[in-house]
Amino acid sequence: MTGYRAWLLCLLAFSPVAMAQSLCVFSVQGTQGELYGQMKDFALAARGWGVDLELKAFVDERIVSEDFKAGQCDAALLTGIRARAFNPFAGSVDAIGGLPDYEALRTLIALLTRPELAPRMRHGAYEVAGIMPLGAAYIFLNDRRINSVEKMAGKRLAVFEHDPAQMAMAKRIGAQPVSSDVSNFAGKFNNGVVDVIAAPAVAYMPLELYRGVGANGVAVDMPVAQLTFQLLLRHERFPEDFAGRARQHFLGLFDQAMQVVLASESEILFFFPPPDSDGPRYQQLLQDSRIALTEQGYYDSQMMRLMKRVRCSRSPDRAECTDARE
Amino acid sequence: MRVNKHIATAVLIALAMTISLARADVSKGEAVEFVRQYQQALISRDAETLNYLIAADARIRVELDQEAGERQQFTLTAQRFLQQIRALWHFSGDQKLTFSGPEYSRNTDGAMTVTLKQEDRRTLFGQPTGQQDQLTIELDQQGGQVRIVELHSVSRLW
Repeated sequence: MTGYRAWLLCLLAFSPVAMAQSLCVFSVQGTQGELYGQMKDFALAARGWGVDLELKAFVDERIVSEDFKAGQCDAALLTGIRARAFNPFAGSVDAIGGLPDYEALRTLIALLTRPELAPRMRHGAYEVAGIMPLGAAYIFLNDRRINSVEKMAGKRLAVFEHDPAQMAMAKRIGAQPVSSDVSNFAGKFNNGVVDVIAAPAVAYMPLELYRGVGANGVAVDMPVAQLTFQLLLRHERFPEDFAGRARQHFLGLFDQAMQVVLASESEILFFFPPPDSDGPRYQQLLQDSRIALTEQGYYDSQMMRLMKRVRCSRSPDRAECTDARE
Repeated sequence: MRVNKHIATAVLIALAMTISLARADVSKGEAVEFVRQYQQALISRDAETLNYLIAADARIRVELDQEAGERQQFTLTAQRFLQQIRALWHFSGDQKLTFSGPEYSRNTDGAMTVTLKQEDRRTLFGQPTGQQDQLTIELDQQGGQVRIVELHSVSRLW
């Protein structure tokens, strides 16, 4: 009996599923809101696969990222932009102008759950085990007179310090980058410290972005990027089949997540598409920026090719479908 | 005898097809009633009625007068146009709507074009603001109902 107990204790000590694994969740609303609820449901599903997840909510994404990197979290839910540091391939889903609409994003996420792409989801000690939509990033301006790319020159644009792509984009259009993070970019916009921000609709009401737009601003109804939440694992701490199961589970969350996104988009005031005369130029700007950023190593070139395949399979008439730039 | 019978059948089929393909014109009375409902829906902030009055595939073009005579055109889906009206209702207060001069003219295809001016004064984020729209609306029968199938607005916001 003593021998059996010792054997069991040894098994518990070395088994990756013996103890609760920590999942550090970045959620602006902490333990409130839809996102944390979805992660609680995910933890329930994980229990059925033999993994006991202990959820920890953080309102500061930087802390989640650092704790995960330091090994203090076994798994982490981060935005795709932040996740890029752990897996450049999956982290490039959030690339500028990468996907034009939500159906394209659904197609891409479904592709990424395929077993043949599983090796790409692993990068060193890290594995992306789920992607869900956070909503498109839109441009919010405090002045409708900034109605062309040229007029963005010299305007103060909030850029996330952990996303070099935003800094490069600001420089490309001649805007004045103002280093910010998730916790302060909205305040800077609402108080007039910056003139322009990019944000998903889910931030509009909670962060009161309508105050920054005010009566004279505008939100541009053209996705600049498809933002995502990504579940990252330190894969050696989980059973071999866990990531695949988790990716399937996250794919199943797509519609639920989109309900929140679309409801948020229905609340935005002064939400106009680009002027008819400028729409194609804006698309060209996004494409050129994305290609330049890929060449500079910010985005993963294989993911860029995969996204192009998705864009062209849905709209073969796009001009880019006959060139070899990506 | 048999040939005559076939000819008669063919004529009847052709007639039936012509009748089914013929579109009912929008009468002046229907257009006047439509404009009344449209204005009432805006005044009473009745999103359901407004949604019903605008065809889901309506083409909406807004020409926005900017400063220094600059004018930019935006093409919106009916869904986005309606969403903007609802968002404005959500954020604005003290709304006063005035309409002037509906004028009606029949198109050659049986549709009806209505032109009217609309002015909306409101308080937004504590500021008195407003907008003036010169509207050109094309009404047509869709699914047995008169609906806006095209809307062109020259708008000025302040």
